[in-house]
Amino acid sequence: MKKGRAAVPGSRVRNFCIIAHVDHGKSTLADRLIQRCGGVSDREFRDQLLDSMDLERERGITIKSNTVSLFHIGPDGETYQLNLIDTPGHVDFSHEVRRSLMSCEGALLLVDAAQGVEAQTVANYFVAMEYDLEVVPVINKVDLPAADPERVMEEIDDELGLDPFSSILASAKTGLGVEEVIGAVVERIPPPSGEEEAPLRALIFDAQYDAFRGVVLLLRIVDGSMRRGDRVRLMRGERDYQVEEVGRLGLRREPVDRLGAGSVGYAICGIRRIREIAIGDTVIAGGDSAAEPLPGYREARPVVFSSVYPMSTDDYGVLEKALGKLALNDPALTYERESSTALGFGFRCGFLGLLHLDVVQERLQREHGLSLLLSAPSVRYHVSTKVGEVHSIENPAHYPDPAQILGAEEPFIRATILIPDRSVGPVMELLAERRVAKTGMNYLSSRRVEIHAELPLAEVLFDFHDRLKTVTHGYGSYDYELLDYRATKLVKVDILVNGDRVDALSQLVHETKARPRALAYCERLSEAIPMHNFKIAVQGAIGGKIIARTNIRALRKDVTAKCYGGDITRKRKLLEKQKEGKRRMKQVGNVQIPQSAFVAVLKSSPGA
Amino acid sequence: MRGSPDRGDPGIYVHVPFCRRICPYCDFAVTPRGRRGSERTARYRTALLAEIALRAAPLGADTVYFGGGTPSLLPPDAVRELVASLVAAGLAAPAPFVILEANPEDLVRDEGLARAWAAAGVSGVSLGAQSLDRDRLRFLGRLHSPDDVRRAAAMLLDAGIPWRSMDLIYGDAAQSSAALEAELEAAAGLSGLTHLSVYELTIEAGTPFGRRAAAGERLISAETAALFRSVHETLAGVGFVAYEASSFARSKRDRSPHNPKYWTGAAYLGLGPSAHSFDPDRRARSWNHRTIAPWRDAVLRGELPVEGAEVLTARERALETVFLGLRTVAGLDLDAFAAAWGDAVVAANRDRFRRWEASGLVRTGGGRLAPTLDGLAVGDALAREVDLGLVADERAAAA
Repeated sequence: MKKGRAAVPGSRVRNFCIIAHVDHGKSTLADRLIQRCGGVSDREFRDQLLDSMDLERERGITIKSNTVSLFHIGPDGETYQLNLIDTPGHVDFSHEVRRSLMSCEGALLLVDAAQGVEAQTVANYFVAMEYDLEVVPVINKVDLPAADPERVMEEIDDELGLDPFSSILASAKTGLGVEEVIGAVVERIPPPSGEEEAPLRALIFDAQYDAFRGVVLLLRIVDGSMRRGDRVRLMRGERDYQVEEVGRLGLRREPVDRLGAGSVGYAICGIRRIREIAIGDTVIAGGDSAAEPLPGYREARPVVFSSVYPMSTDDYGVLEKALGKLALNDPALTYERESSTALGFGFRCGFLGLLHLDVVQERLQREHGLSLLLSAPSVRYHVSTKVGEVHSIENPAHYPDPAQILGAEEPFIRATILIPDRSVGPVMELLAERRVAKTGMNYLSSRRVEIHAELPLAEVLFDFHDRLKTVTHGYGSYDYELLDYRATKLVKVDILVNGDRVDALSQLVHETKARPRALAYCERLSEAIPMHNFKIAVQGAIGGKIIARTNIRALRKDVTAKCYGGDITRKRKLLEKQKEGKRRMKQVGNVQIPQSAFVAVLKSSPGA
Repeated sequence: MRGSPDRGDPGIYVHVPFCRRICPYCDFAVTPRGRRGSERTARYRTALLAEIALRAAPLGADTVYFGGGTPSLLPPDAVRELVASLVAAGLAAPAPFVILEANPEDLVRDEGLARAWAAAGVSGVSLGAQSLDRDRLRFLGRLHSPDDVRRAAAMLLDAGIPWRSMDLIYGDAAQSSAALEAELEAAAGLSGLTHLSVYELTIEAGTPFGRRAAAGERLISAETAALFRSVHETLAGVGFVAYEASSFARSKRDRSPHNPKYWTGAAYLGLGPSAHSFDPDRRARSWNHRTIAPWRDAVLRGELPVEGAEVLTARERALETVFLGLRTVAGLDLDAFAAAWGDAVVAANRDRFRRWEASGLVRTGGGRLAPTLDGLAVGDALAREVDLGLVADERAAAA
């Protein structure tokens, strides 16, 4: 790593990001750019370097955005600082994409030469437009046999309204076109336009936690500058801090004397607690009371909720700490304490979507060694009662007495679905299953159709993406935005085991989905609860009404055939061992439910 | 160490390890009798007399049970001599109730054997029939035929042996419920049987069956719960009433005078290789060397042939009381249990017992927790659920 590099003037700084549909090769392109600009030694280079978390590498998707500063000698012989701001690529993480885009002047819009423009590409492109970014289309994977760059250029023209001839044909894998991409970043993306002499305004677009230094803010300096020793204020937190260190983001943090207007870097300000900061907050000079917060930031609100329990009750404290840590980098993740009779103490957590939920779960398990159980995901309902109150309810445990309920509303989304025209029929059927309220359709080209559909968010939480992929033979993609709340017929489905309610399995669902959902749970639970010494009834119920039922046969015989003098010690020791095993099961009424049963019921989405 | 009224008098178990042929399911301490069988039996007899002398004490057991192995390979005079020695040593009370396990083929080989046993003081014989079906007898590796069983049973009656029992095994994969019922009815119809012990076939590691099962062969029926129920219901229908998970008697006085001692916590002394002893006052259990050679060497050197011993913690003993109690139809005596281990222990399990009762697994009342037939079938499972956390888990000092 080159130390003590001279500061690059703002005119030779470029802040850019790569926006792409998942799998279109964003991380590979980032790697190429980093290699080409010498920002990393071979030893430090790893495949898909920006995807630094194991989880991201394993899944081939980027969850957390990271940022790296690259240096490039331009055609004028001057050194340019290219700040590559990584962005996550899945629909759940659009808030992070948004934050990244706000820190940039330009974006590389990466499109797979075989897959073409997808719903997410469009969604991200529109956000880029919202922030006035210079967009450079890059058609990637042109080396693949299935590549059809001409068709993709048509789509770029038809669906995005971009000049197709501004596209760069590239293969991040072979390195083809990478020089051209770097050239376009330097030449086509404008330098940041901040005022060096104005009072400080910086956007916190991300944060990291360093066990020794505390919170590390990742900043885009919009106006003014920031140096070590400055007093700064976080506008939302309304607290002042002393800047301990500022620097650039290479592979490691590289301290510099100051961060000037337009630059992207980090700041350490002695912030110890995660909860003191908000991603998207504006940093201003200490004592500056006249500053306006930076515009455009939208608070990421969780829309999907699930209860998270540690498998071992001893891990509750570990889980609490781990959630706190994750929430630092992830303002959309919310959590509050909760307890279940069957599963003990845990947290009710809020997520941006199912993938977000999945990723948080895996990070908790992998990075913190936790073994977890998650309840069925729920959206947040509005429930109005006869006494004139409206409750926001995302937790079945808080569902009011049905006799007191006047009505309920659930969140609707507007889904944008891009599909080949031959899949229109099956997709319409899928939408009908999902209680779609309204659909509209546009032909984007002779073969590509865009469907707009208004449907309940709850209906895309469970396996919608998988089903869409199936009915479109892999060619369909979708994105969504929240619309509004609409009246719904909500019921609370309870699962009973020998008459005792298993609180962790209760769900709020639309009345038409109650029976299939209850039956799916009953069946899975029946398969997963080991036989007992008596028959077990597993039932689904709405209030006192049973809507689904399965039975678990009584256990096979469980008594020692022959028990005389010599067998007693041996048998007792065996029983002691078995008793120990039983301690690890969850008790519901007189039924022992192994954790594996909860896992089996809760792990996969109900088919209903 | 006289027995207290609630646990019954002490009993003596004598292990006779010899067999003509080792059954493929058996994991007891057994050895082929071999060609020089009478010579080995004689040496064994000498060693057993030595162990009796070593252990001489005023135990006063009222039962002596010869188990095996195949005790019917022991000559009647040896039985007489051993019992006399036990009485002389104070271990057995005068004229104890002597029970002998016998294989049908030994009885049918020797017309006079049953009478000779009766003359030697044998009051009960447990006939190792295992089955009355020719194919199943072959599968179980037995040497006798169904007809041998019938003849042997008749001989016991003719000889005037007052307690006549038979062992049966069920639950192998090939056995249908109907075939099982037919066998049980045939067994119950044999002349003069007063008692039946009906065991589920159990696969033990280290036996030929164990190896076959480990290799993936299915030897055990998938329907053991149904077969267990069928055994109990069929036998009840022909006048044999269960008093324990595997034990059935025509009447209360036909119950085994010896076996319940193991379940009620009575004192017992085991003699011969692998035999176990229990001293309830010291909560101590010990066991002899499993094989003949070290056992005989020890007793002939004048040392107790004990291979191992344990002093049970209160909790261990309480668990034994629970699982042994729940094998019996009379069930667990909760008053005695509370007196021994504390009221709080019973109180801590009240809800559990109530749920069991609601599920039809037990009946409570009269201070007892008595399993129903459904409960009896899963007695071990119930025992695992009892919370004994309030019982001290420390080694007790000898009382």
